[in-house]
Amino acid sequence: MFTRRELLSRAGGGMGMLALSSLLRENSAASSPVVHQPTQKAKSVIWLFMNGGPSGIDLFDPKPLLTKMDGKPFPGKLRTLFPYPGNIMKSPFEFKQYGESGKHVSNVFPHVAKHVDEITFLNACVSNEQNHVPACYVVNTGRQQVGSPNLGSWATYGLANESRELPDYVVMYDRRAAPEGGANLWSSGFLPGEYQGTLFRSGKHPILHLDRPRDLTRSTQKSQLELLNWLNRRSANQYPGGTQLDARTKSFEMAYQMQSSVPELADMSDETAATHDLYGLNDPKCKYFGAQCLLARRMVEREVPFIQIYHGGYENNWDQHGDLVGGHTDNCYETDQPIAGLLTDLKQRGLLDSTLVIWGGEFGRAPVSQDNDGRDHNPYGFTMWMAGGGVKRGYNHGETDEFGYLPIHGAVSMPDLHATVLHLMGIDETQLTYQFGGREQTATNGLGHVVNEVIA
Amino acid sequence: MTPPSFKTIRRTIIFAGLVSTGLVISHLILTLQASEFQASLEAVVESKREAVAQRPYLERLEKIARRDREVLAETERWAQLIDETTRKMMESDQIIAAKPSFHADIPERLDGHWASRSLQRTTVPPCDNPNARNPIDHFIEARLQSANKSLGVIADSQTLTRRLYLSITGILPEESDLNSGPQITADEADGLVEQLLQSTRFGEHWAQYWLDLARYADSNGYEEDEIRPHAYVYRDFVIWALNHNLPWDQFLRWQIAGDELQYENPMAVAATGFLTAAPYNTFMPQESERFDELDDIVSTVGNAMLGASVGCARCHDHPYDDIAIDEYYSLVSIFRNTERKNGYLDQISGEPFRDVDLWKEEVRQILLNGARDEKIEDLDFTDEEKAILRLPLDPENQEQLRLLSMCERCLMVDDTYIDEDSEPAQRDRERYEILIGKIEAAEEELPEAPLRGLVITGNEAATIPVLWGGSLQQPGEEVGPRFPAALAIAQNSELHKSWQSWDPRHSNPRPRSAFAHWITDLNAGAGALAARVAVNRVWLHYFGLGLVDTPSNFGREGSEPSHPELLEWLACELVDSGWNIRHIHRLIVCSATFRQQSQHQDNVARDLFHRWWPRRMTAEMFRDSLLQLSGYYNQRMYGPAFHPPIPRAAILNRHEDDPDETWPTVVVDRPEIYRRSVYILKKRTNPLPFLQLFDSPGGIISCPQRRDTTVPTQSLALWNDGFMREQSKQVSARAFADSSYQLENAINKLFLRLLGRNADPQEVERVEAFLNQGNGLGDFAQVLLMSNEFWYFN
Repeated sequence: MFTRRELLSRAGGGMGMLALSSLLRENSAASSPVVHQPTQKAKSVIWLFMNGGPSGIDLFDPKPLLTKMDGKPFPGKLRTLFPYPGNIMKSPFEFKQYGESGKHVSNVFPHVAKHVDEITFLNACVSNEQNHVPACYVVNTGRQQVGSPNLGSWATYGLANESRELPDYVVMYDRRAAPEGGANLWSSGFLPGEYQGTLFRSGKHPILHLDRPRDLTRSTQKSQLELLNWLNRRSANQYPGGTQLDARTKSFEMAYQMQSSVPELADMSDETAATHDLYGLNDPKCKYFGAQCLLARRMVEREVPFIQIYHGGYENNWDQHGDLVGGHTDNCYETDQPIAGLLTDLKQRGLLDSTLVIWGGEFGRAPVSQDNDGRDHNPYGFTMWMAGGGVKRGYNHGETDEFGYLPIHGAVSMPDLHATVLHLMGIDETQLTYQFGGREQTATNGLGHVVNEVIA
Repeated sequence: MTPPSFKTIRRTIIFAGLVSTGLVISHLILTLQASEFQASLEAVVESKREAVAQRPYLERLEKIARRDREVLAETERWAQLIDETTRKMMESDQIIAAKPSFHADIPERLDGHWASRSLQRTTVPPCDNPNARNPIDHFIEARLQSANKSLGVIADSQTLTRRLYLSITGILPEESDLNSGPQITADEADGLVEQLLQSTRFGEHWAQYWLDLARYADSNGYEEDEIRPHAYVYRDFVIWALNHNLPWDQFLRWQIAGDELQYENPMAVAATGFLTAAPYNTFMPQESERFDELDDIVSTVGNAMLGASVGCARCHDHPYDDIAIDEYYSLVSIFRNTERKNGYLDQISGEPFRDVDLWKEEVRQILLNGARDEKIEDLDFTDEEKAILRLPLDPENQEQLRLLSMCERCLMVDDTYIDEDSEPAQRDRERYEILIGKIEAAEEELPEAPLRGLVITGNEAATIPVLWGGSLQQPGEEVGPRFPAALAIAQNSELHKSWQSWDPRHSNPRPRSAFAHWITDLNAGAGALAARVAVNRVWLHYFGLGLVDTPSNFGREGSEPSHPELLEWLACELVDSGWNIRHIHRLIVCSATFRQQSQHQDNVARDLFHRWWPRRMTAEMFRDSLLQLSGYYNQRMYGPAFHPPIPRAAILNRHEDDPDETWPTVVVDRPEIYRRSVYILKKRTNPLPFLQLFDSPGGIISCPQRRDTTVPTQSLALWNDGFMREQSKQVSARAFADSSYQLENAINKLFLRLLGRNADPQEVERVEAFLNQGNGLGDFAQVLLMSNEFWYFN
């Protein structure tokens, strides 16, 4: 077990600026032993965030009793966001069994269904919060109250990677609209700002300020860089010993490089036609999410450790209070082929074993109807799934009651999920601390427990 | 003839443009060279006018111009009210509020954790170092000597001047302030200190540190993230309080209960914005979120004012400090009846204009009902079913419940259904007219100033159950207002008794007022702790390192002070000077400790304060200095937050092809956007990228100290951001014009203005080579603006 500082000094030359600035900070608050276990299984995480709350009971976890009791009043107490829940509603979708595991998948996910033998399903996830944005905070940070660091921030803080030309924690969101909750969803909370998610937009210019303005030529910028380095060296001679200043000088070199390396990353013209097809890029309905999935794979190849993709924003999301059939059919269509393509592609490139793919929203949906053809929220027992990155294949963990409402066993809280993800990344969450608000904070503050059952 | 300054030309054009065409000149014009400017002016204006003569664009420009005029008018009214208040407070002796009446004489407390013991004036140690200037240096030198070191050399005058300007006002000195001879005397520097502490820029700069602690922002956060148009009155209170040196205890008390303590004083009322500054979910809020809100208030008060992590006792007794869970909920109970209200205070009773608020709510309901009726009409139901739905909600009416479950969301109406043309339903018309009449009559009596968006509270004492594990499912015994004993100087039995005989109708002080007094009470409350925390924060923001390195945690898990006697002495100075916080500023910046140079021979632990550690400018200091250098700086103080231009790609759109209207989609160059950074609109879910990149906190949680992070995306912003490029050009154009268009002079001038020192010949030669490669003076200015020497001040 190494402390961050030891780890970094052992890493030797070529130490990056993020690392350096972290070191400098350590004289005050941030001193964190982090454990790189030899058992690290997931080098990268791709979190597919289905914003709005996909309905597990209509996608992966059919409940025959709902069909049987369709139209009858719910026999127990039910908490929903809106005060007048309707009667029990059967799933409007048809299910079939797939793979050796015989997992049921609804007919709106035909491509994902082919991968059930790669997947661990978490059938009884709990976020305990009825409202979208606070629930999104629970899923991202473990707490409903805004202000705690995102899991991606904790992960990159724990990994303490050398700085490279790509950010460690990347966020992509739906081109149609940003998710509710905005920048606070990928905020580093009380952790330093370098651990916040960096937004990647679609197209050739994904990072803000990446493009030179029209009045600044490449050659001028090169001369500027030379002059800047010359001046910075002179002031370093006058005021020696500023490692943070050296790091800052290097960051301009890196920024200069990023202007070619990032467009190169985003330019998918070197991918084969077969790959484009695989991700559904030729289908106008899937191509945006598909491109983001493909971009995520390209990032994984470049060792970006934490990638989050939001499908659905303020609008066009999974929040089907009404028209469950229409909404979920569209949402599934837009994501089905891209997700399946991602899993196939990662597998055929030998990357799936070291890449953890997570699918889920901020809650699931209630077993009763709303406005006749929709469902209200259910944050007490819903489905998420994980694939690759050291989790079991073709496995089901946890179960909700016959209505798909409350967990019977194997409940997974969001802190549990976070502890598990960090564990798979080789980080012992209990050892990764940051001093804030009067105590040593950890990613789950003792509330999360690694779900050992799902680990292969 | 000297050409008119660039700034003058620019202002003239903008003014002329506004007057003659209702247009504002696009920033494109400003990229022209100054020399070409005058000649081509008219032609450019003409062509511009044609280019933008399309309706929608014109309309948007006119809308922006109209909004700017409204903001200006509101600011003027508000500034006038601030002036009147200040004058009244100076004339009368109102500033110091009466001490609370319930204090018993209780012996000094010398036991317990160091931070909450009674203040003990420490003896200033002797010091034979001739460089020492005031007692601070004696304390610092004493510890240095025990490490066989001594205070370092005083910085040269150019360095010191730059340091004083940036540390005190947050903005670079003007060139004329730097040319004051080879070495200013210490007394001259003291004079400069006085001048800077008196400048209004001092308050604007130091307010930011407190606003970080107060997690201040201009929007609600969470799902809707509505703009809070009047949140600024709190921000302005902080600026005003610092500039008028409001006694620090008063500063703290008003933020807890200014509306109760001095309801006739607009600044006291504005101060309570501290309590309401937090993020706030307005979309179908759940009961548990109310407790998050209360937790935020109690935790932020604890962290910011007392360095006490009381929030740690929300679920169980505090793991390290002696704060029990029931003490936490006792604090929460103080705010149990505190509500966020948009309203005015009645200056006679101190009560909010509750009636007006109620009437307004009724009007809103009438209009909403009308909208709802229309929606019911559109439903695919029978007339009988529609009639049942129109009945008042009745939980016993099963048929109504059944129908509601089928169309509940379709019937949802919110304020977006009410516009200016909304009509009440016919059956409600009479009631509607009466209410509108009442509101209009009452509003004539309302104060004109925007005292809104504040906490206006029910004043009754309340009890609240202890929630074990912070969970509503595990309520324990009910507790009422009481203060954490461990933070107070004395175990406060008298105070406790006074709460037991509490009578909400005739009581004085009320719970929040009592809490406010307790916080600053040196005899029986937490005053000693508050004083220690306050002086440490001032020290921290001058040196980048506090005497206590955990500025918001003075508990057992926090750091021990590096110089306990000095901390104690400063706290006594604060209290004995009548909580004169500026006295502490003055002591620090006049000390030899503060004025040491950066250069050093040997590595000595930073907390010995053996030398000056170079400090990075904050995002705000950089932007404000940049505006000063370019001549664009609009010095107008106070008033509504301004919306800076933001790169299109940085806007988190809520709807496809329909960006958030918070941000101007038309980039126009207008004075409003060149105001100081403290006046920038802080939108919680979509912060301004430049501020966010350079570690400006998002107004989510109380931030005691910013972390200076270094990431390549910062470098990209400095290089490629349109605002940066434009301003770099203006900085160089201004320097060029002021150098009579002599290139070498302009290079020298840029070194002097930007780095606060003269260029050496080698540097001039190197820069000339850079320019000879075909690069512009603006490109060079940008390099200086990106350099380490610019960002890290010595």
